[in-house]
Amino acid sequence: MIAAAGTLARPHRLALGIAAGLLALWAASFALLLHAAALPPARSGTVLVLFPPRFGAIEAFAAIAAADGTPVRATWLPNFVLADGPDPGFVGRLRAAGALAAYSPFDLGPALVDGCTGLPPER
Amino acid sequence: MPSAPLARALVVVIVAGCAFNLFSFGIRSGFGLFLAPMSAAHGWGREVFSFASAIQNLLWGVGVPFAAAVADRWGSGRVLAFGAVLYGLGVALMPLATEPWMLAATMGVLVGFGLSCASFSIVLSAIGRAVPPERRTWAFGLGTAAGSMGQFLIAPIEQVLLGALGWVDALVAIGAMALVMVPLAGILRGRPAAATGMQQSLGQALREAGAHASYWYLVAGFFVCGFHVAFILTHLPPYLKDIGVPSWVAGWSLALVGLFNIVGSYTAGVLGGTRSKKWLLSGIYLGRAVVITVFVLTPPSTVSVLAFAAAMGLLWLSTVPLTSGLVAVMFGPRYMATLFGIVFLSHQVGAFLGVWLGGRIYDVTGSYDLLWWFGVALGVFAALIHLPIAERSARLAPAAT
Repeated sequence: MIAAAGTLARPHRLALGIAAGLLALWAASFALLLHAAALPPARSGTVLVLFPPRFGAIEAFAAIAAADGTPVRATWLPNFVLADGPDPGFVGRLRAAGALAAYSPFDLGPALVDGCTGLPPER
Repeated sequence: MPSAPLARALVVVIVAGCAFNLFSFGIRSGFGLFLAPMSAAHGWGREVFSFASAIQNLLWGVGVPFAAAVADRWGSGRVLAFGAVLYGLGVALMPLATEPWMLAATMGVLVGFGLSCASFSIVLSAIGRAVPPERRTWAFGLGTAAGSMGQFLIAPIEQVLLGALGWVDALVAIGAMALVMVPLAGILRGRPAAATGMQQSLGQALREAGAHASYWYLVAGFFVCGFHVAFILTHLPPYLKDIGVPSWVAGWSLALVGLFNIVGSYTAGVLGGTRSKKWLLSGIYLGRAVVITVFVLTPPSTVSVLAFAAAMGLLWLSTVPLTSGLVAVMFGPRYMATLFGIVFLSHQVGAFLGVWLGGRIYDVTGSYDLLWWFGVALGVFAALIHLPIAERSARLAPAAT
């Protein structure tokens, strides 16, 4: 109990440490997952493109055009853009134009959280 | 004096409990992502997936008291590990469901019972055994906040898996991810020791709680929590659509609820260690009634919706550490998992009614207004029902209050 009292003398520090640790672990796992999920350069079609954070919408759209693609729509993150390029090698051209990676399209948004009931709300 | 190893053991248990709750809460938070692709693949209406979800929630609630009783008797590690395996198996088998009943069997029954065995009730009980009594509610708040974090962290992983692998392989991968909880369960092993000088069987504990009016007040209050949470999560987006609020606001509003819930849960756990838990609970439920009233009476706008979401988030699962804390205060840690599991069953019954009544009354009246005001009335009821709770050991208080 004395050891427990000492350890929990600063409970908020422990809580912050646990939260930071879990977040760090998650960030590393998510980064690995994003790396593994990146499409190969030969891929074409509709893809979700990740640009560097410094890219705004204009730079992203210009890069897509340079890769012989068409912007489909922006997302709530300015450096994540849905684009379409029918010619083979579209992803490779996107990366040459400055994209970090491209992925199969998925909904990127805050509406991922369905809460503790697990029941999917109508969208 | 071996204080360092003991301190490390305490931290390891708390970290393991937080991580377990993070996965347990988080994995199921993304199930809604699979509604569209699965329904499209099989030509199902929305009701098939929703029914399987409803079965899952019901069995989760029904199963927790029994799973918790086994954990209290035989040890939490085995039950949590079994739950993790069942949970993962249920998810991994979902792609094989070609008929609605198969989805109900996998996502509904297997995952539902898996959740009950991998229940946060058992996890909180395991954490509660490790920490001194004066830090219990704080630890419960931390464990609950970690579960809330899981809803933010795991869903994006599931979304990327869905995009990269397709829904079939993504579900198998997510099922495998659930197995991460198995080694965590090993750290949370153990069973509550009997209180010094007093041996009590599970039956005696149940009879003691059943004869204690304060316990039933807690059960009634947590029913309201389940009703509120489920109704808002399920019916807020269509309600916002009805009142003309932009669709992107619905997604952000639920996300805000989840984000502020992390803060609310932890804060409630901290306050519950030094303040009266019943007064805090009463305040939370009264707060919900006030927030809902203001929201319904205010002309709809993006600001009003997001403010509502943030406020409700603070009042969301903040009830969990306080309610579980009261169970521990009244009856001790020995059978806390079981007794809180029964309280949680009440929560799930409330949740079931919140979802079902929301749809039913909307279909009859064409509006959610009646449900919102019913929610306000329930909030006031819950605020009042907590006040007569005797916030002390049941063995020091008269059996009936």
